Amino acid sequence: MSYAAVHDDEHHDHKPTGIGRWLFSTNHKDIGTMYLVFALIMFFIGGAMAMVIRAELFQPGLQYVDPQFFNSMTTVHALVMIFGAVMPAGVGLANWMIPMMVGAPDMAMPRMNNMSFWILPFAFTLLLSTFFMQGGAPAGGWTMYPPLVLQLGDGLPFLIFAVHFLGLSSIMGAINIIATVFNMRAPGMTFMRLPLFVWTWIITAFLLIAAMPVLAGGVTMLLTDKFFGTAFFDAAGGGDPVMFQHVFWFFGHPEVYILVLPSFGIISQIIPTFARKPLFGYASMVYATASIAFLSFFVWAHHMFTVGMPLAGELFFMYATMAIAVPTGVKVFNWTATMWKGSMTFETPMLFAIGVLFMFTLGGFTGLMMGITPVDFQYHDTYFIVAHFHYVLVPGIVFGIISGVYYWLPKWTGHMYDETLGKWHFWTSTISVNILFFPMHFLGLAGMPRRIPDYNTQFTDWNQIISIGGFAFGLSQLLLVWVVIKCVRGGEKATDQVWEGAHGLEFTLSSPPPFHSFTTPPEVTDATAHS
Amino acid sequence: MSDDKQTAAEKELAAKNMRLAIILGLVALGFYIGFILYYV
Amino acid sequence: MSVDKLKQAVLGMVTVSLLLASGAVFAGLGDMPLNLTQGVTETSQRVYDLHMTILYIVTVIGVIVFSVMCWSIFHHRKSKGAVAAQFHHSTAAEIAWTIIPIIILVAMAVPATKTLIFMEQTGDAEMTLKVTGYQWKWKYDYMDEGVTVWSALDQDSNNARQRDSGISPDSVENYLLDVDNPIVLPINTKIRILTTAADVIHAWWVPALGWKRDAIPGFINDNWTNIKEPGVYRGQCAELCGKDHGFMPIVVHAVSQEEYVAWIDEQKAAQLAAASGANREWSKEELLSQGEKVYAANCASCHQATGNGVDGLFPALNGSSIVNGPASDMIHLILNGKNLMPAFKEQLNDADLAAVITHERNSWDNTAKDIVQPADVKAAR
Repeated sequence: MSYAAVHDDEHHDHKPTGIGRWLFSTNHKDIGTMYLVFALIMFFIGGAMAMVIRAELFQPGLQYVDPQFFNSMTTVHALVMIFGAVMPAGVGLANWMIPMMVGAPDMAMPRMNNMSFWILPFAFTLLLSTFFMQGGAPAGGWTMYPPLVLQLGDGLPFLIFAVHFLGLSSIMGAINIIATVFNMRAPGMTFMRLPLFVWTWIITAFLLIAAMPVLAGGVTMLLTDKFFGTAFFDAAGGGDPVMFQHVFWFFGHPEVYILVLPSFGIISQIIPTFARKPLFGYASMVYATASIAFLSFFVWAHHMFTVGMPLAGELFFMYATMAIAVPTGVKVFNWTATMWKGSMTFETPMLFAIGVLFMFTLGGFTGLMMGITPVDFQYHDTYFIVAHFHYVLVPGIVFGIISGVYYWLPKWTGHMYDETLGKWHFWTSTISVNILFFPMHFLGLAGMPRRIPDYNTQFTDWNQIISIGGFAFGLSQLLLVWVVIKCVRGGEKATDQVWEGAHGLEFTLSSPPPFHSFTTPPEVTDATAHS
Repeated sequence: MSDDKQTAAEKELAAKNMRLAIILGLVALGFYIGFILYYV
Repeated sequence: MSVDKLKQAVLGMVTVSLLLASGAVFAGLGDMPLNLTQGVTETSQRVYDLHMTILYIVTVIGVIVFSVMCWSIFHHRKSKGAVAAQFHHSTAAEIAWTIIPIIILVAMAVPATKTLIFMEQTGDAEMTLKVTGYQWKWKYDYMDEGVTVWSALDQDSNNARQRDSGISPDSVENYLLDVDNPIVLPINTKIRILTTAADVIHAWWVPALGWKRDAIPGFINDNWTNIKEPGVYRGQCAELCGKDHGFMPIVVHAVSQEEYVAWIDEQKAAQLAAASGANREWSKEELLSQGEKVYAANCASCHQATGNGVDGLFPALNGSSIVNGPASDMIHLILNGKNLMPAFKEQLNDADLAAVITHERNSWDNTAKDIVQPADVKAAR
């Protein structure tokens, strides 16, 4: 790794060397790097599981794995991708960028920052070790619904403690981000001058603090149900299995926005840069983000319309779900208006950001369709929902993270990445991701349930197309690794501003930036503020 | 930034950060415990 | 690679994939429908109409929004000499694109609410069917007739779906969508359908009826249907329920009222015959041949056809101390279940239980080799 231009700051501390630099790191950039590398590794582990799923589903009949192992694949794929890839990648970007964007030297609590990262490898060791246990890895779905999840063998406590640790790590990360933004802003950096990425992350951090303890509470109750004789979720003991679903989705829906808001923040930075035009409707973007976050606590039951709720409940959650479309629409229209009459160029970060704009919107449309309760009775638990949430999560969120990586990579390394390879990465990913996920809509409408290892022969052709798209998408991501490694090792020198249209404090620092970002706080005025 | 060489302003900031962290941590812990107690 | 070549390559790839996709769509790709079924009930028709309405609405919005994006991508680019405007908000536009979506959503909510209220009217049904999900089969109780039907994956599909079975799924008609005992329902009758489960959560879903509903242990969900057209309607369990979640289909035969009554009478007679079968002494050959069938239908999915189970999940019966131990202990365990092993007390009658126990004790390397009579099972209940 190269920090060629490390400034000797007034504290005279030196960049530590060797393995200790990483193990005991309290530096927001090093920890950010570790988060991002960890997320990339997890992305490939989770991706490998997806490849197993797509290989098994390439044709009807069981060829490669047993149904139980198939269920483990779908379950652990989701847990790894959500908690191991997307969330850590978001925290990694926040670690790298937030101190630089608000004009601070580092995160508010560097030691806690170190701890919240190093919990992750341990948590995932716990989770992945279940593959070698009696009874195998979790196979009841990432949603961990009882009573099914309680049929898991020795792996159950490992699953539950892994979830506890992941929650702890996220909460500590969230506290750190809130403290950094609240207490460490440079003079003149008022809240309404914060870059949108910082705004989306504060809101995400508050969502984490509110939602994660609920998940931890839910899985704790699973643990006591299994081992200590309680009956929270056991009807025979006076409990209610559906109660777990309410608890889970009370966490689970805000979790969706925990995943997506940072991606919204990233493309809100990138689109103005490459349109060479200020973000349209900064204030309404902030309010829209906040209202999405607020509403996200009142829509959880749309994940479980089929459990048999009273009519009033079904209507309430349908209306609340439809209401979320309004602020989400505002965001999409604002991004479009930002591009309108701009002077656009299409470097890789912009391509990925536009990809997010198109394909997230597509996922939003199917989301609206599923919010209509009576129709959801047909869509629920079919490939239609699989198509929906993968459109939101992969081209909506993963593309957002990738666009952020391309956007800030020259800032981090001091080198420009290979633009040709970047464009190849974008086009191969975009084409394959659509071959992968678009036909899933058809399968779902035609009646193929999700989470099945084998299917009726009428579904064969589309499954084969989907699998081919899946393999192509998996291979395309190797390009990302190549581009990143190549860029870290060398390349054309990046300027401080990196991009012609870039604004913001991070672009006033050198590329790569000094080890401690701003040791003298910069002065922020309306003219230099991001918006 | 080693602890023994902190200036007064840095110490004040550290205390402020710690206060905020403790408050937010207690909020999270409160949600967790409150939630379980609610269902007990 | 030069940028021009790259562009050509990309354009080529896009064209090829679009051609492939459109070709595939028009070729129909097998016989799979690409849209939601209109089904055979008023509910399913209303749901289909709602689905099409919202699909048209989002398509129109999508075309408008994506056109604006594309227009700006093609025309407001630096390479075409576009100079960036510097406007950054417009109160009028922002109010417009907040209000207009609200109006569209309210317009959408009205028919959705009406349909939902219609679907929730479970009163004044003419008959009641109770559906109970088990790992991994369905039990149907015709509440007004006292008739019970157990319905599991049919034997052909079950053979073909085993790993490395060597049987092509293409050779099995209605692969994974056929059952041993389909249920029969009368048309033009309002039928109340109660869903519940015995072990974990399942979901009962026949797309042609227009809804699915979870089957939750300890709770009963209330639904209804009124089938308009006779026919065979297939569905599947839609809530992950463990290893064989993908292998518990649903088959509904919708028939005229007369045919339905005849079928019910047949079921009643069969139940009487089975009950009398339990009262007589069975020969070893009878028990073994019946036991093999019962084993394949009820036991093999966990304990495997080889009797060797699945390591770490399902214990082996081959050489098991219980199977080779006293028959009374084995009867007790099968009747009442243990951990993941379900209680078969209600699932199987005395004769079938005696047959399958005899089969297990005489199969593979097991040494018990004795026979168990239906009377022994009856006494142990």
